[in-house]
Amino acid sequence: MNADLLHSRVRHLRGVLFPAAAALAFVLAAPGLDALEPGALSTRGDQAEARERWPTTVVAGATWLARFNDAVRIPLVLQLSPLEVPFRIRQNWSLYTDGAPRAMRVEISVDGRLVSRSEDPAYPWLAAQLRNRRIRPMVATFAEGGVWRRQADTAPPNTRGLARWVGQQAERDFPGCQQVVIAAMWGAWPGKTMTEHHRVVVTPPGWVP
Amino acid sequence: MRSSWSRWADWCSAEEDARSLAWTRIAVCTVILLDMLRIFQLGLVQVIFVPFEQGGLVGRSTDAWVTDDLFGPSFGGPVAFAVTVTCMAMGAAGVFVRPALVVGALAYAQLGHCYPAGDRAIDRLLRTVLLVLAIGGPKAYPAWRRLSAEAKDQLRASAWPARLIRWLLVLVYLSAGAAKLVEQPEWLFPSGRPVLYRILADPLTGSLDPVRAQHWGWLLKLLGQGTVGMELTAPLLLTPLAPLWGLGAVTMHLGIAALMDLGMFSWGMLALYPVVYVPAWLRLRDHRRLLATQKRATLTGED
Repeated sequence: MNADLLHSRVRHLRGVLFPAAAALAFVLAAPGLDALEPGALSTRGDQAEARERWPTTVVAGATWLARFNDAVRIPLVLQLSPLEVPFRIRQNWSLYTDGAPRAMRVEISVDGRLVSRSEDPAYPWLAAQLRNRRIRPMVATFAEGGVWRRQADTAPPNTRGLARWVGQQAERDFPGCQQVVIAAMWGAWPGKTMTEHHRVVVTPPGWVP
Repeated sequence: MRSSWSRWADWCSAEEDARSLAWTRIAVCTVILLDMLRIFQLGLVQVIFVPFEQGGLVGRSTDAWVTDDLFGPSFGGPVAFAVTVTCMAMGAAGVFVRPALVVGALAYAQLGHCYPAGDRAIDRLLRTVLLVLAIGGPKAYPAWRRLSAEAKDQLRASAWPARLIRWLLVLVYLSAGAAKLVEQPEWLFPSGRPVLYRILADPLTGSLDPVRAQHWGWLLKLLGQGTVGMELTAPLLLTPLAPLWGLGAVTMHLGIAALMDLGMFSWGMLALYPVVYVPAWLRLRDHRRLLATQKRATLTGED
């Protein structure tokens, strides 16, 4: 095959593949639709509730889009999802849609002495690690307590690992310590007064809750 | 007369200065590399990429975590970490770029499968971009080889990867803006405490003092509305106004970096902006050169 013919074919191929890739990204991400739960606005009750917050025409349009989402986009996304798995590139970008409903802090006490409190320079123990973006979601999940409640007071798997690691760090930094308490403190904004909502207690030698 | 299809195929096969994609690759790989090195610096590699049973944090991994089958559960995560670090260093330095980006993205994904709780949207976005760069990015010239300015001007690359990255940015911002409105209309119509207050003053994530910040409600409402407005106008990234729109986005990301502990999120987003600003800078430079040449020609003519 001569170079001109090859160049021509590659040119035509790009003319097909580029819009296909852009369209695929659009279907997978689908701004607005990606934030909808399957079955959203599918009942009259849901639609009536939406009309209380939004104009009727907006709700009518949103209902049509939600049906399209359920009937076309979600099945397509499910078909394509195996392609996303190896590289873990799921195209969903619902970034920071809401803030915390209340002020929450995580406090850590070693043998009754407070050593760590979220965003409090007076109690900085493990602050760099606990606020690292990889561990912070685990700390936030513990503070929110939702998973905790669903599992009937059994520490969820990630929290068990977090609590054990905190215990091991306490053993290293406070030799001979006998008890570490990790407590989720809740309070109404701005959080001047906070009370303990739930806690996990770990003790040596295993430090496992 | 050329057909519409022919013009479209030409547009899809167009080339542009290779430096916008080269700088994007260097920036993205460097940001990921620094994020990984920070984990190492904090002594967390053996903690967050090792399962609970082997002494780590991870309670649940996904079924797609396969490096534990290859290297054992104690070493699967750390090996994927080491491969990611190596590949990102190679990608940033321009050494065996395509294999480094593909293998690096695979290893980086394995870290996410090992520890899903710590794998966020920015990780998924940067892995997507790594793949786009691996498929369509320019061939790297050795980073240590100093090229003349003229030689650099000759380096060309396909334009479609930069266009696709700009399209991805549009989708990311539009999705973020639309999701805010779908899930929390108070972004636009605040009634109580502004959403941005509850994000930036959250002691678990933000660094604003919640007591002091409650006096800045009007400002935070305005900034929240500005954020949504900026995200919903992201299609401007596909127009000549992109550098102007980008100023708002860059400011927002710098603000997030200053006021929230989101790690590499802001820097990862900013790492994609060479596809916006390098072409703009080159246009500006060429325009200045043209003006200088015209000025010289005028002066010579006067002489």
